[in-house]
Amino acid sequence: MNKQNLFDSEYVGEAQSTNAQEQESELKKFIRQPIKQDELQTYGTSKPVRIIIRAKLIDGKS
Amino acid sequence: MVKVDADRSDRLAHGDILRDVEYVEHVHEQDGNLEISKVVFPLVVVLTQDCDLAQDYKFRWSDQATPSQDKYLLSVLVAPLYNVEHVYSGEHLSELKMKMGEINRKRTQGDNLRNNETPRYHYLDFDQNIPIVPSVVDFKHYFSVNAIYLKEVKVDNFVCRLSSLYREDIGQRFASYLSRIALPD
Repeated sequence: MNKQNLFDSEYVGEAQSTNAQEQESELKKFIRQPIKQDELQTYGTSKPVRIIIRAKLIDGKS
Repeated sequence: MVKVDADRSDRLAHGDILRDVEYVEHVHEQDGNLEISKVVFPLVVVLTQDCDLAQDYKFRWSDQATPSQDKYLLSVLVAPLYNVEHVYSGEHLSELKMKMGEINRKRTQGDNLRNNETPRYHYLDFDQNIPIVPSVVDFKHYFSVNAIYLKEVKVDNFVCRLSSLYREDIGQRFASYLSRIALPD
């Protein structure tokens, strides 16, 4: 039977941590990420808007 | 997924998708005070018959001499495209202070919408290279736009044109929607 410690890194080799990144750091990364040009140009993300123009006719009825 | 043509032609065409199209709700004048109310739609699709648009262009804009103005169009029919995510939540007209019915994307209502089995709506899912999110055309919200104004809009605001079959499909479904017959209960 192999008496080496199963959790000894010399035996199992180095491995990257499987711990999840902290939520806060993920959010920060997302916020700092620059907006891609494609995303800026994506149409259909806005909604119809109403514009009201009010004016006074200088010479009365035209 | 629908296919589109990205090449812009000079004339308006059935299936053209244009952005930032204005719809004038009313113009009111009283005692020299003028009020104009308009709605700007981020995206619309042209629904007028293509032969009518072609005739209008030939009679109105080509150098070819025509005997009359018989083929001029007074207006062009369009219908707005809404972001499907806004449609699911019924919030697509929230900027106009209107609450619309919700559609549950995970249930039959949502499936019917995406499969174009709801007469009122036409779902359009575009290819990755077309910068439009999955959208819904609401046939109930069709409106008319002045033909000359829309041609001018097309110069800068053309996005793409639905390819053949896809534009005929939407035209046929729109005509079918308009020709519904309400029977008494």
